[in-house]
Amino acid sequence: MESPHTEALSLRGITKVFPGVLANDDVNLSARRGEILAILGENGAGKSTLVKILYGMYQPDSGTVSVNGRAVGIRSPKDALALGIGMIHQHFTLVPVHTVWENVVLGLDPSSGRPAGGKGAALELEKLGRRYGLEVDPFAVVADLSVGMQQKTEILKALYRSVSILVLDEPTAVLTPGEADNLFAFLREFRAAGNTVLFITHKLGEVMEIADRIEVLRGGRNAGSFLQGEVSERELAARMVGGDIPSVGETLVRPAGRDVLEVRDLWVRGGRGHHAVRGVSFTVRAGEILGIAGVSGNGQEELADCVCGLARQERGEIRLDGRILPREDPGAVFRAGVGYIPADRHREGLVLDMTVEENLVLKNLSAYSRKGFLREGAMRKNAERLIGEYGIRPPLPGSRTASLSGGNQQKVVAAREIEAGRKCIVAVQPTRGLDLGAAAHVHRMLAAARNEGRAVLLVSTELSEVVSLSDTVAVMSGGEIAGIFPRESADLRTIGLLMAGRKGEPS
Amino acid sequence: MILEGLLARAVQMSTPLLLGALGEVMVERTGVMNMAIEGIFLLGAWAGFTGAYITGSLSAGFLCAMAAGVVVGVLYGWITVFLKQHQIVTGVALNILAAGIGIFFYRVLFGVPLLPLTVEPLRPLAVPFLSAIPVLGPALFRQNILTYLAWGAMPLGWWVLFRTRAGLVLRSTGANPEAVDAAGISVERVRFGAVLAASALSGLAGAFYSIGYLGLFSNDMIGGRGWIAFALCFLGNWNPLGALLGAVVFGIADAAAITLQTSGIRMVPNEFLIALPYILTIAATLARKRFNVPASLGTAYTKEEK
Repeated sequence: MESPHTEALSLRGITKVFPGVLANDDVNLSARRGEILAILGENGAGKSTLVKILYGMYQPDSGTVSVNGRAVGIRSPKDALALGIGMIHQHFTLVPVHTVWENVVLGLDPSSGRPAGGKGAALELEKLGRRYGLEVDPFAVVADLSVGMQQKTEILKALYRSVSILVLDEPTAVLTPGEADNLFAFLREFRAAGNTVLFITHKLGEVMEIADRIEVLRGGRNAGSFLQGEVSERELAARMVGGDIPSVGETLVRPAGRDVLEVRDLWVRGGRGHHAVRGVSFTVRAGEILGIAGVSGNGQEELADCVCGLARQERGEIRLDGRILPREDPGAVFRAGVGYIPADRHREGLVLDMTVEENLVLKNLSAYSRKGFLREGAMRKNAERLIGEYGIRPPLPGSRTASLSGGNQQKVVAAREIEAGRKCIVAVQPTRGLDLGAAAHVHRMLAAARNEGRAVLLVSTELSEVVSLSDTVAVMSGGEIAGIFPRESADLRTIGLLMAGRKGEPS
Repeated sequence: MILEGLLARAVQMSTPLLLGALGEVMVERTGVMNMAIEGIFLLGAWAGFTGAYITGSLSAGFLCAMAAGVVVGVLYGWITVFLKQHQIVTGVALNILAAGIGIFFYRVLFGVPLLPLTVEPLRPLAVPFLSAIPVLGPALFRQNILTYLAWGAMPLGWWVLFRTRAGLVLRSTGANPEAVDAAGISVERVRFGAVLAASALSGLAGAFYSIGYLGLFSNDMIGGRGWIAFALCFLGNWNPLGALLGAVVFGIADAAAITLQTSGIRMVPNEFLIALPYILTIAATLARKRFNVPASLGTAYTKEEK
């Protein structure tokens, strides 16, 4: 029997605009009791924004949220918890120096009836742990626990508040396969008790394994809603990345030339000590853009960092024009003729409080100073030339970089790095956070550099950007190159499957 | 006799350091340094004296001192917690303001008297029987009410911080404000509340110098003791009981300086004794190897935004 009460949660017409970005555009979503709903989408599809609205961390610009059939206003996480909505963030919100039980009782509503003291809470936690297979020592200090145990602690925190709707944001990103299996077992158990799960992911395999229903988001909009069993992985992958081939950028003016950047069997460790890049090899030729597609966190940024001397090269070899590139020496790499447009321009690319002309010479001070004094005339001339060539607005060398728009800040970084990258340019997420006009401008700058015969390595999680700009498309997944295609033969469905960690058909 | 006097004075002189350090521990546990502490001590001393002189009541004086602390706390907390400005810069500015404003209003109210104006300071209250214990009795049990309160407040503060729901929220706020936010508690409110409480305690501490001990006000009477309370928070490893231990050491140093000065014994130059608490602060800070620094100490909390 279908009654309105079986609908645990419903989002109607949710729209959320951030400066320059339409994160959610009229998104609709509903989930029933006793159901696991997967929300599937690429990076930037609006998944996280949507669930943060649900958890009261953002306020929607329009749209309504209903819980158990009643329209509700969720102003803060406190409201969400009071409505029985719990959230497991991708980055845990635990206090590392405190014990498990202390983390669980933090902020507990005194009227919840759950014990807030150490002994009482520990007993309750052990009971909950046994019931759901989430055994964690209540007196252990969180910092000493494995990531999987920390996630269990996060889940226990939600269960302790008797939530009936559990939202998990990319929960398996940090887990080992065994830990992921345990998580899935728990989710099934939780569902069987009549609860609702919202499972956010970009991994097709997980969706097929755990979800009852699948809601695909793309570019902030609904891109299809399916029941498990009704849909194939290929269909989901296509919905996720979009069916149409994006508009093609400028074509290659001449065939690619000599090998410029050669990477052979490269291994790099990531921040958590694991191998983020696992035996990657590729070649970028003069006059070629090699685009690396992939979901973020699959080793692309570590790869780019390593090429530019910012990460330790554990094994393998990187050559520029046939010569071994200096290791772990970003200055030497820069002087060898490799420009680097980093993913986070604010942190790694610019000093926001300095002027545009200062930022434009930041990495090449020796050329713009004499005996320790800055050559202000030369700096000014350089800035005026680059501002003109790259269309930086406002066209004032002395303006503070922080006062520029995001697009113009990125133009400053791109101008400096393209100038310096006489042979090769490495660009990571070069249009992140830019509006369409500014993004197109940056794309034209990269295409122009390619047309001059330089080698360009482009890393982006926006598949459309990679496909429209690159001459050759590579897909990275799990630290490896999962496939590499000339653009003419690049098939979006295959690429989508490879990005989602599935083997595609041989190309 | 000298030993007895020294001990009694050490216990007495640790009073304001205890109050100030307790407040500082509480507020730093939430991730905010109360950098205005020296200025609050001074304004507390001034407000306490003014309140007591005008009303003739020491209790009214102490209330005025706490109110003055809260006023500075509101300003400091508003600027650092809500406007998210730099804590050290804000603190330094408020300390300079406090150094001028106390003496300014003292002169506006009282002119420049030939002899310093005085009030009768707090009197010691002897605890029956216990105060008769030789040496220790007078030291521990013939003190004024504020000293008893300050000593009692330290274990109480420890208990609140480590054994209650509110204490858990305080500690979590400093160690990981995101966790507190995700639990549905406002980080800003916790921090602002802690700043106000710490400022009230520091105001009270300042009044100890003017009306708890000397019975007069002068603009240099704090002389860096607010900073010592500030340092005791570090030395005590952000634990009220650790701060208590440190305060006793500094109380002894302070008392030794006063005792030896007045007794006419000339073993070491006076200047050295006066400088002793400050030398000890530096030495003790250097000697500590490990600190339990709250992870978010000194940084404003901004909610994640795109």
